[in-house]
Order: sequence, then structure tokens, then C-alpha cells
Amino acid sequence: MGSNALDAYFNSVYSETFASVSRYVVSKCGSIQESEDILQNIYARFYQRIAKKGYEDIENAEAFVINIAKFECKNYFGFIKKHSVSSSFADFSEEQMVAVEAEMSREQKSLEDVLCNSLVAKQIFNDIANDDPVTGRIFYLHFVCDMKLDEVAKALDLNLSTVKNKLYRTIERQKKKFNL
Amino acid sequence: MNKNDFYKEIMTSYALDPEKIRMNAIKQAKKPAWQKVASTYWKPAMGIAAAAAVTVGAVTFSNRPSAPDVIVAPEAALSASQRLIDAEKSYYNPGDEQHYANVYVTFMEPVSYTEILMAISAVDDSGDIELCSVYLEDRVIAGDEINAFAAEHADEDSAVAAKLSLPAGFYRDIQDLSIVYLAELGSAEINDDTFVPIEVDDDDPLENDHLSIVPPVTSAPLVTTTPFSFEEIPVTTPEEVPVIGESSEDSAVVPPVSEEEDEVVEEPAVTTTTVVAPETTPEETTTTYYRGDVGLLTEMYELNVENALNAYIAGDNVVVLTKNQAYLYTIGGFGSQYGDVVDIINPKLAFRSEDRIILTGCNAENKRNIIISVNAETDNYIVYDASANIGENEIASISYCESADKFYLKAVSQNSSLVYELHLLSDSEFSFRPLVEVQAPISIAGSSGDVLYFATTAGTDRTTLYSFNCLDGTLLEYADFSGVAKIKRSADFRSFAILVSDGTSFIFDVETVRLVSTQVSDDVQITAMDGETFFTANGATYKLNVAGEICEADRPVAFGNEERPLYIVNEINSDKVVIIRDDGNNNIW
Repeated sequence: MGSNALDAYFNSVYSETFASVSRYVVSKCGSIQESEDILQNIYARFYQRIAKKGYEDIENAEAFVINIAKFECKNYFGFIKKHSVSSSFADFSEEQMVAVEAEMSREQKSLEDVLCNSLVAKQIFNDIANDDPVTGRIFYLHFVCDMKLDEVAKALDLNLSTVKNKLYRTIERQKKKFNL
Repeated sequence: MNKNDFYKEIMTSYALDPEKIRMNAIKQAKKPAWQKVASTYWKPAMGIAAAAAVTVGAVTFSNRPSAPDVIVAPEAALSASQRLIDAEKSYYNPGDEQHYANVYVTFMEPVSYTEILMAISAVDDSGDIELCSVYLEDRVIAGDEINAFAAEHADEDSAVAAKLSLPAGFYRDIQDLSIVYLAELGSAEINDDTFVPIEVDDDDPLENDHLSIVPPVTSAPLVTTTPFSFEEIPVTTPEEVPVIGESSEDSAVVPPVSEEEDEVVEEPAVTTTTVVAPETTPEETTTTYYRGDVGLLTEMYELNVENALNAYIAGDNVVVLTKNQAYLYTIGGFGSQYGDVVDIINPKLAFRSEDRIILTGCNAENKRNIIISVNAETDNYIVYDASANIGENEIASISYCESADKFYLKAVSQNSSLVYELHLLSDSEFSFRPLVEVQAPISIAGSSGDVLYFATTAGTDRTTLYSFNCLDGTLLEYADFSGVAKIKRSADFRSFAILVSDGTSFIFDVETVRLVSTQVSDDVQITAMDGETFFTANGATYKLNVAGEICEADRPVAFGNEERPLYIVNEINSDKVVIIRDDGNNNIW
């Protein structure tokens, strides 16, 4: 098999499956940072497989890659001992949540300026990703994968209120920290 | 834009980079399996597995200057398995840390001369590691030949192995480098006449049990080996460095902000004074940590940690390091303890004071970009992944400038060194401020807080001391020395000695900005007290006064760790670490 054909097939499958596979991995993994490593492993395995045995027998590439993802996630987390540092904060009241949700939909021109400053934007991301691994996953699934919060809660095996609390708490913290 | 759109943009832009993942996946897929294993598990263990069917020849390179065309007798050769086992033993018992040893290093894959120097600079910031020989695929070069080779081929990936001379304390760090496949301490069996680098074929050895020797020019007697199993060692997993500028043609030191093309080279005023006296040995305070059960024996604590490599103490916090874990505990208080274990590959001490220990370690990709900071005052620790701050580079060292309360983090890539100002914002956050990028290995020497001093060595014939103004980005070439220089700096970071291979030596005080020529030995220790720089030379203690004159010290000076710790590490062996409380007279309470 030609290397060009192999790369073309791989790139095609990659672009078609990345969204669904990353969604799967983020919902199963420990943190956003770990997701990147796992995704790399998954697609490296997939590349090796098609390089070695070809891809003619693969009928549904997405299902095939998801299967690799299942194996990789299981393998990865069976291997790594996780140490999460949990923190306790007071839960948001329903009123507070409604207020945050309303503010989320309010137009803020200053946000565009923040995005233009890549250094600050990256700091905001790092603040999300490094604070609490679950929070980073919630942000990714909700904002990138467009999953509703109840879907996120189900995918992460969390209560909806926990998801909301982690999300809104982080948003409120960042509002003060980064003057958003 | 509302916050929903804002966060969508933030997360889409920074959370996962599909293109980077795609490229890395392909790169990983095309990488030989043993290398992937090596990035996850301990290299010697990897090597042992890979070497299950290895044969090792005992040949020398035909064009080695000292012993051309020599074939070593078979009985003098060690099997690959034995070499790997020996390397593992050496890892746990490298010997006297101050004792210089020859180390033969086989690289993962052919690397360039520049990469070798950058890797060495990631281990040692003071110039104590000497590159003695470079093994190319068809010959060995040493001494002046290295300079000649470097002048023409510095960036060619042609070196398969190297011989280094270094204090044994650096041996583990060399073994832990990502470019290193196996580092072997010199011995009767492994020496200039018998050392042969190993090269692994691209075939996956875990499937094919296939490994070969770098093709020597002469044929090699073959030695069969026995299979060896190894245990997988669990690891933890934990991204862009602001590039300050492009390199210029030569040594390429790049200031981030300064836009002046031609910096003024300031000639330092050099005063020459000769100091002669007997040698002294530096007093070294050892500190350590642990995990496991603590047996409280009055004021003796046995910490049951298997395969502990090092232990460090700050206040009543103890950190014990193994190959893949950092065990964190407190001692005292009637044996009360908090304990935690952090899985981290190749942890090593970066900084220690009475109230803080900072460790660095590698992530699952074997890149040193994890920082663990233990605060002995609050008994808290944080594990920080600096990859978002330093990108693909690796942490080489963390230095502390006491007068300015600033940390400097040196990171290295394959061909450049980067210095960041590191701030501990809180017990859970760091901030990184990029200062300067240099397209060469550097040794950070000292800082006044606003001005950072560092040295670069070009080949073996020139060392340059630079000053970098952290406030305005001005970079000055401060002084030039003929030869390779070792840097010995004071613990407070405000003075340093420059020991040049041509026999000259200098003392520099960053507060008074004085560079004084003197005659000191390799055993120099240097420290600063009350605005004056003190140093030892040949057994006597001298000071550099405010007028820049060298005179005899007028009071007792404590070098190294001035404050005596309440607890000290008394013993580290294969299954435990013993901590004792010290009354100042080495008596156990």
C-alpha cells in the first residue's frame, strides 16, 4: 500500500471521527490534558493497524476507532493511579444559578478584546484545565461538543447540580480573576 | 459576544489541538515500539526487555586514536543483559556523588553534537560535565577533534554514543535524559577499549526480539545473553514557550525586548589577586523524604520506602523519591503524619529551602515539565504541569534569587535554552514570565533581581558571560574567557566563581558588579553574607569587600546550607529511609 494512500485514508478518517472520538475520550478520561495523550495513542494505534494490515476490511471507521478508544481508555486508566485534589465549596443556590445563566447570555463587547489577547486567553484556558480536571471536561463537553448540561452530567456520571456548580463556580471565579 | 460564545472559543482554541494530535499520532505510529516503551518505563528496564536476544560485540572502533584496530578478547566482553543489569545497579548505587566517573552513553537514536550539549546543560548548570568522546557510526572523536567536528557538523544527527566525565551524582540524571538509551559507568569491563554503543533496529523488539550493535569496522566476537523480564512501572501523565527572538548566526543569544542591534560590550574592570592556601572539602547537608509506615522511635523515624533514591527535608516535611514516585510526609508531632504519593517519572530535586522543596519530574512522554512544590509551612503541595508554559521544552533547573525573592527556571530544547522568571502566586499557581532565549547551552550564574547573569560556552575554546536586564531586556556580553568554564555560585545567587579550563579563575559579585581575577581551586565554595562575598580557596576563606579587593575573611563563614535542619536523613537503603532529629552534635535525641 502506498504511503500516500495510507496517509490520505488516515487523514480522512481522522477528520471524520475526531469530534466523536474526542467527545468519547473527554467524557471518559481524567482531564483535558490526559485526553490529548489518549487521543494521540488511539490514532497512533489506528495508523499502525492500517499500515500493517490495510483498511479494506474496515467497514465503519468511526466504530473501529471508538473501539480502539474504549480499549485505550481502559488500558490508560487501569494503568495510571490518579490523585485528585478535591475542594469543597458552597453550592450555588437556584437563584444564583439563574443569575449566572442570564449573565452568560448577555452581550459583552470586552470579551472579544480578551480573545484577541492570546496570552490572557491561554491563561483563562489553563485556569480551567488546571483547577479541577472534571471542570475542564465539563467545559469541553458543554462548549465544544455542544452537549446540554444534563447530557454532560450523564456522560460524566455526575449529578446535574454538581456539573452546574463546577461550571458556574469557575465562571464566577474567572469573572473576578480576569475581570471578565 | 456573550460568555457562551466566549467560552466556546476559548475551549475550541486551546483545549485540544486536532492538527497537533494528528501529527503526533502519525509520528508515534512510525516510531519503533521500544522507543515508545522507553518513554513510559524506566529505560534500563526497557533495555533489558529489548535486549532479550541481544548479542554484544566487544570491539573497538578501528580508528580510535589510542588503540586502532583492536579486537578485545571475548572474555573481556559483557553480555548486553549484564550491561543492562549493571546499569540498573549503578542507578541505585552510583557511588560517591562528588567522585568523578566516566560514563558511556548510548543514545536512543543518532543525535547531533548540539543536542548532546543541550542535554548535558539540562542536567548540570555549572559545567561539571565534560564531553570527552563522541562515537560516530564509523569512528570515535575526542579532544580537539570534537571541536573540529563541531565546527563543521554540529547539527548533524551522527552521534550514536558519547563518553562523559562527570560527578557520579549526575549519573542518574544522565540516565534519565530522554535522548539516552543506556548510560553505563566506566569500569574494568566498560572502558575506552571495550565500550560499544548499541543500536536497536526499527523493528519492534517486543515482537521480533531483534537488536543489533552499531556496525563496528572490525567484526565482533558474539556473546549470547539470557532473557530478562521486567515489571512495568506505573506513571502519571500530567504544551508553547514564548519565543523571544530568532537566533543570530553564531552563538545566538536573543534578548526578548531590546531592539538595539549592536549591544555595547562592556569590558569589566579586572583586578588580579592571587590567593594561595590548602584545599577544603565543602560541607554538604543532606535532606530527604519518604512514604510508607513510620515507626516512631523517640526521635528516629524509619520510613519504609522501597528503592528510595533520595530523601529531602524542609522543616518537618520529608520527601522521598523513587524512580517513579515522590512520597510526601510530615514528621514530628509525636509521629503525626500526612502522607501522599505522587506518581511522577524520574523526580529530582530542583530547589530546597527551610520551608519549601521544589521537585521536577517527567510526564508520560518522558518530558521533564512537571513541577511539584512542597510548602513545609502549610504542609501543602501542588503538582503543576508546566507544559502549557514551556511547550515542548523541558525544565532543566530552577534557581532562587533570595534578595529579589524570584525563581528562575531554565528550560531547554534540542537547540536552545530559555529562561523564565517563575513566581509562586499561591500554593496552587505559578506564573511564568519569559526572559530570554539563547540558541546555545547556558549556565545561569547569578542575579541581582533585575539583572541576570549567565554563561555560554562555544565548543571548548571560549566561554562568554552575559548580563541580561530583566526590566528592559538589554543584553550585554559582559566578559569573554578562553576555554571551558565551570560556574560555582553562592546559594543566595548573588555571587559566583568562574573557573576556566586555561587555569584562570574569577569571582563575580552581582550586587557590586565586580569581576575579580583570582586563583582558586576546583573546590571553591562561595557565599554572600551582609553584602560581602566570601569564598574558599585552597583551605582558607577570603572575602571580596565592597571595594572589590580580596582579603582574608574576618569572621567565620558557613558555606552551603547555613541553617542547620532540625531533622536530617541518616540513612537510605533498599527498603527504608531513616530520619533522625539532630541536636547539633549528630546525637540522636
